This record gives sequence, C-alpha cells and structure tokens, in this order.
Amino acid sequence: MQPSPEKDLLERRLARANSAREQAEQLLEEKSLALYEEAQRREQAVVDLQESEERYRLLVQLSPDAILIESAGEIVYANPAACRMFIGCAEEKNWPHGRDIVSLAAPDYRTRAQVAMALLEEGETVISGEEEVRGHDGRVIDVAVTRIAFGYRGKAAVQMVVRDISHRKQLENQLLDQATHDALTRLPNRTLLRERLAAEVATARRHGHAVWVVFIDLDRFKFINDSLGHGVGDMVLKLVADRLSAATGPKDTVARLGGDEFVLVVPDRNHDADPGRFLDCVMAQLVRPMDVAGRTLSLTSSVGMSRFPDDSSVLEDLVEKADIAMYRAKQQGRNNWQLFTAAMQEELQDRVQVETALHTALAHNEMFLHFQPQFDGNGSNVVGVEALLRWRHPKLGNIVPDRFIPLAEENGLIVPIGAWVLRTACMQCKAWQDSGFPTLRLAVNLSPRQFAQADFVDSVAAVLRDSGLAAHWLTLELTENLVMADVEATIVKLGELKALGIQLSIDDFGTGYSGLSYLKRFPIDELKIDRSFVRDIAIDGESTAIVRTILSLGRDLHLRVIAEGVETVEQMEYLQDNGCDELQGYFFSRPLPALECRSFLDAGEETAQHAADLARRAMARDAEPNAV
Amino acid sequence: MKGVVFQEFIQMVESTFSPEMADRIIDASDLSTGGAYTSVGTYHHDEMVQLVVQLSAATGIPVPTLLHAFGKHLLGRFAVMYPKHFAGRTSTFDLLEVLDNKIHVEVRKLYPDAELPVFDHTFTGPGTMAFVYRSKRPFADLASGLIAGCIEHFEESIEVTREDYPCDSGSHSRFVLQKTADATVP
Repeated sequence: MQPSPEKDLLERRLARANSAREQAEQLLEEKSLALYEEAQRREQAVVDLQESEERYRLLVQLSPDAILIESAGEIVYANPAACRMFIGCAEEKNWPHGRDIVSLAAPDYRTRAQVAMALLEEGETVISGEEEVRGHDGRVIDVAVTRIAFGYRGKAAVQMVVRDISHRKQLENQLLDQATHDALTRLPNRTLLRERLAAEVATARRHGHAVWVVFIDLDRFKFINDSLGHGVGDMVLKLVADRLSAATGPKDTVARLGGDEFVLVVPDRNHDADPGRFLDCVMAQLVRPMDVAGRTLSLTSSVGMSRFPDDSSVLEDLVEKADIAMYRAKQQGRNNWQLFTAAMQEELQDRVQVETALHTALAHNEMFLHFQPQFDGNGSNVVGVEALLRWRHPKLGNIVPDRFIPLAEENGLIVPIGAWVLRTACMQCKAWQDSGFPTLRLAVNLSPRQFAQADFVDSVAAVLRDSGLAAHWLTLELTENLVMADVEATIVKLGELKALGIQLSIDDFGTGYSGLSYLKRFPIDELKIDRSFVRDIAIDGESTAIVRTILSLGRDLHLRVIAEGVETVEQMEYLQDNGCDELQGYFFSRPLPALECRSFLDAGEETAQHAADLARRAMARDAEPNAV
Repeated sequence: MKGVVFQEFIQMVESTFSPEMADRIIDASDLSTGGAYTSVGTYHHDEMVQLVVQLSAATGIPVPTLLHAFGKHLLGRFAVMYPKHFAGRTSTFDLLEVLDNKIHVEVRKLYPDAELPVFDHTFTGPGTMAFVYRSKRPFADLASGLIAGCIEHFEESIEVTREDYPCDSGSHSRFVLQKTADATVP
C-alpha cells in the first residue's frame, strides 16, 4: 500500500515537533544545571564572604594594632587594642561617643593629624607617618599611624591603624645613645663631640663669641692601668669624668675620646672669661686625691687649649690644635696647661718632617759617629772615647741629637740605630786598638728601648764577636731611669752583660731617680757625673756638694767616677782635687770625627793644656755641646 | 537567532501558503536541526536565510518582500506573545523608543546569548523619528516589516523612508518615520 503524502507530511511534522521538544527538554536540563551551579556558586560566594568578613573581624579584633574608623566626624568603630590604648579597657562597647581621630593625637601632633584628615578628604587615599598619641592615662605614646580613606556603610570614612612603637623608639634612642656616648663614663664620644662642637661654633659665629676646646690627657695613667689593673683604671676614668663634669657648666660639653683623653667644649659666652683661670680650676679638680679601691691616688694632667675663632674655624683643627697644645704641656714636664700657638704647630710640622726623614736616615748613610776622648784623672792620657751619634740630612742639614733621639725612642727606630752605633763604634775602636792604641776603651750610650730588646745581650755578644773587640774594653752607658724602670729584670740583664765582661756605667748620674740601695745590687763599674753639676762647680754650692758626694760615693762603693762636660780649668782642678777618676769635656776635646780623633790620639803625648787649646778653638767653630 | 522567530516563520508559511510548502522548503534547505525549532533555542541565522531563499524560489516572491511580510507578521505575534512589552505603549514611536534600552534589556535577561541588533533612535523634528538599524545579519527588510507591523498595530499613519548604508557584512540602514498630517504629534 502506497503511503499517503498527507500521512508522510504529518509524520515529518510530528518528528520535527518531537525533535523540538527534545531540544527544549535538553535545553531545560542544561538551564536547570546551569541554574543549580550558579546557585551553588552564589552559596559558596556567600560563605566565602562570610568567612572573609569573619577573618577580617577576627583580624581587626585580635590585632595588636589599634584600629579605628571615623565617619562623619566621629569615631564609629574602635577595636579592642584601640580601646585598651585610648580608654583603658578592651570592651568595644565602652568606646565613648563623640570623639574624633584628631582628638587622639598628642598636643604636638594635633595640627599634623588635622592636616592628614583634610588631605584624605581632598582625595589622598593613604597617609602614613610616625606621630605621638595620648593614651588613656595621659601618657604620650610613640606610634606609627596609617590613615586610609575608604567607604564605610555607604559613607566616606577614614580608617586609622595605630601601632605602638614606643619600645622600638626606646631601642633606637638607646642605640643612638650608644653610638654617641662612651660606654664607661657615659660622656659624649667623638661623634657627639663633633656635633656639639659644630653647634657651639655655629652659635658662636652668630653671636660673635669664642669657643674654647680643651684637650686633657691624664699623666702616667698607663702606670695606673699597668700596676693597679684596668678595673682601677676604669674607676679612675669615671671619677675623672665626674670631676670634669663638675668643673664645667651645664651647657659645656665634656667628651671622652678614648683611653685617658678627654675634651671639653666651653663657649666663652660672656667674652670675659680667663682661660688660664678656667684651666687652673679644671686641673685643680683632677689633682685632688682620689680614693679608689682602698687606695688614695693623686693624678695630674696635661692640658691644651685652642680657641675659636682665633686658632681655627675648622672643627677638626680646633681639636687637633688643642691636642698639639696638650702635647706641648707633656713636653714641658706634664702637670701644666698650654694655650695653642702657631709656633707649636710649626714645631710639630718640623717634628713630623724630622721623623719622616729619620726612617730613611740609616739607609741613606746620613748618620755617622763622633768620638769624644776621655782622659785619666790627671788629664794627661786618653784612656778611652765615647761614641756620639750625629745626623746630617741633605736638606735639613745637621740635626742635633736632642731633636731626633727622643723621636727615635718614641717610634722604635732607636733599636736599629742603636745597634748600628754599637757595631760601628766597636769596629772603629778595634781598628784603633790594632793600629797602636791597644788599651783604648769605648763608651757607648744605650737607649731604654734598645736595652729592653729580648735579644739585646745576644746582639751585643755578636757585635763583640764580629768586631773582635774584647768585652772589657766596652763600657755601656745606661741612664738612671733606664735601670730603675724594672729593677729586677735590669739586674738580670746587667748580670748577663757583666758575664760577657762588659763594663757598665750609670750615665747622667744624679739627675734621675735612683734608690741608692739598688746601686749596690747593680753590677756597675762606673758613675758618670752629669754635665749640669760639673758646669756649676764653683758657682753653685749645691751642685758642688753633689759632685763631691758622687765622688765620695764612688770611692766608697769602689766604682770608677767620670765627669763629663768639663770645660774650664777650675772645673778640672776641682774634680782632680776631689779624686775624680776620669775626665771628659770640651776642655780636653770636642767630639771629633773618626779621622780627627785618630790624629788626636796620635798627638796623645802632648799636654792636656794643648788639647784644651785645641778644644777652645773648636768650641768657637762648632758650638755643639749636645751628646747622646 | 532565537527559535521563536523560526517557529513563527514556519507557522506563517504554513498558514499563508500551506504545511506542504513549509515541509518543502525545510526539506530543500540544509538545516542542522532538520527544521525542528524550539522557541527557547538559539540557531544560526543562516538557517533563516536558507528558508527564506527556498520560499522565494518556491513562490517566486522576492526575498525582501518575504522578509518584510514576515516582519509585519512577527510584530503581530510578539504583541500576542509578549503583551507586557506592549502594555502602556500607545504609539509606534513610543514602542520603538524603548526597544533598545528596555525591551532588549529584558530579552537579554532571559537569553544572555542572544545576538540582538542595535536600534538607535532620534527625534529629528515634530512627528519625525530617525531610526538606525545595525545588525550582523542581513535582515534590514525584516526590520522594515517589523516597523510596518508596529504602525499597523497602533493603527497609525506614518510614512517610512529607508536608506541603506554599505557595510561589510550584516546590515546598516536608516529609517525615517514621518507621521502624516492626520496623525497626532507625540
């Protein structure tokens, strides 16, 4: 049977209707699923939002920082930390009505807070800074503040986060204090000194007054530290700090640079203060006896002062020049004060120049020896020579030993220089002995640092061995101060030298500090009377008495006595009459270069008078009485 | 293009011509759906183009004429199916004025994926409305029919002139609606 077209059409329409329905159902399912998923997403979003809000709420509530919200000119929220800080309890509900953010600021910061709030109103979003707020108990608290503009419940608002940084500030202040103060005395250190000095100088510039910079160095403080220990030394420094603070005004600065060095900055605001009187007063404070650790100590100081603007307008210069003046006070025998002068600086520059040249003097063969003959008590026979160091610099010319020996002693160059002197002198003496003067003795001066070298005795032995000079022809001259510095060690070392066969002499005897009881314990052979006593023979009764006493002492202790600096017949005769064993001085001969000395030795048969004549002529030509 | 438009087109063909004509043009077209459309579905506009082209071929009536007629028919159907969009609207201008910013907004709520044409209107003078139609699809004739259907729906006397602008694809036309003398000025 043929299908009818109508039926086919209906079937196709039905099929399309079914298909459309299926599509619609499928779409419905898809939409339902999409709606369900959307609902799930929304539900999750609500949960997330709630959790986020809860987290934020907890964060705000538990935050150690105070968090406040101001809206419409009133604080509408304050977290517990804010409540603790500003009302003294953690209950948010107790926050009082009517307060605004500006009212929380400490008085000094009110204006700043007002400006910040105004800026936020004008469009700034975040303003941060460090301020001070007033806590619930009236205490001013250092805080870090961040103010943020935001919308709160549909209104413009400002959230303020306040962090208490008072502990940090305290640490910062401590750190600053440590960086600017001396830990021991709590006095300002070099850094703060510079700041204070800069401020004082700036003020002085404006008002036209002077500023004094005083440099104080305690005399022989090292001795206290070394002998009584650093604990005592520290106590002394603290006492000194207290006394200096007491001696100065509240607006003056007392600083410690380190060690036993202190600096005062004192503005002369009244234009009339007398620096000398002030310095006397400071020194008088320090010199008063101190009771420290059961002992009574007395301490002197050396003090130097420079003045703004007379001496300098440069801060560093002022301290340096006060230091130079202090150094001069040390040179003047300590326990005194000096005002800076331009001459001091020149001398210092000269000293620096000499010291610089000294480093290369030996290497450049600028040093040489002179020899001064030593006569027997009759003044008729040369018994020995004293080796004396000389330095001629190609540019600076002849530099006298008084200028360079102390420098070499300070910087240690005396050790190689002294070794060179000993070796050269021994070689020369041996050469003279070998050429017809077999009994010629040699005297060489020793410096304290040279003597203190651990291998000193060995080095002397090596020189004797190398030069071939028999030990008993060599006399080493030591100063009183050298042998008294460390008596026990000196006795051991002198014993070792003595064991080599060397003769030992105490130089400049009578000028230093020597306990006569030790004289007995030192294995010495000779005392050398200092030239200052010899010079005053027959002029000054005391000097004459000292000379006589030394000669008597020598006799009693069986020590040879030699006088140096004999320049007149009167001196010679007095010494001869009192039994002086040997004589040395310009009366007989000036110190001579090696060649001239040889000639002098060759002419040894001539009378002492003839030698004295030679010496007088030489004196006129070369007035150079200094000796090493 | 929403399935409701396809449904209305097929129903119009069935009622205007015959169910066989509808069946024939569906059969002659290459349709992914096989001619089965649900009102809430979305289909490619190319299927409408094919159906109209096939109808034109089968009836000898030009495509623009068919589309214009379909537009008029569709407006009538919309008035029946979506009365709330017509509620309170008293004139063609009144309806066209809210077409883009109210009716299309409502359509989008239901069908976020709907690709709707853009209608920009301006009142250029008393009783005159200029109406720019832009679409990614070549249905300016359909729009023209819809306007005509609208005028008919409100039983107004409005003269419509149309100006087509060149465009790469789709359509871009400007309609100027001028109320005739016996019509009231809004």
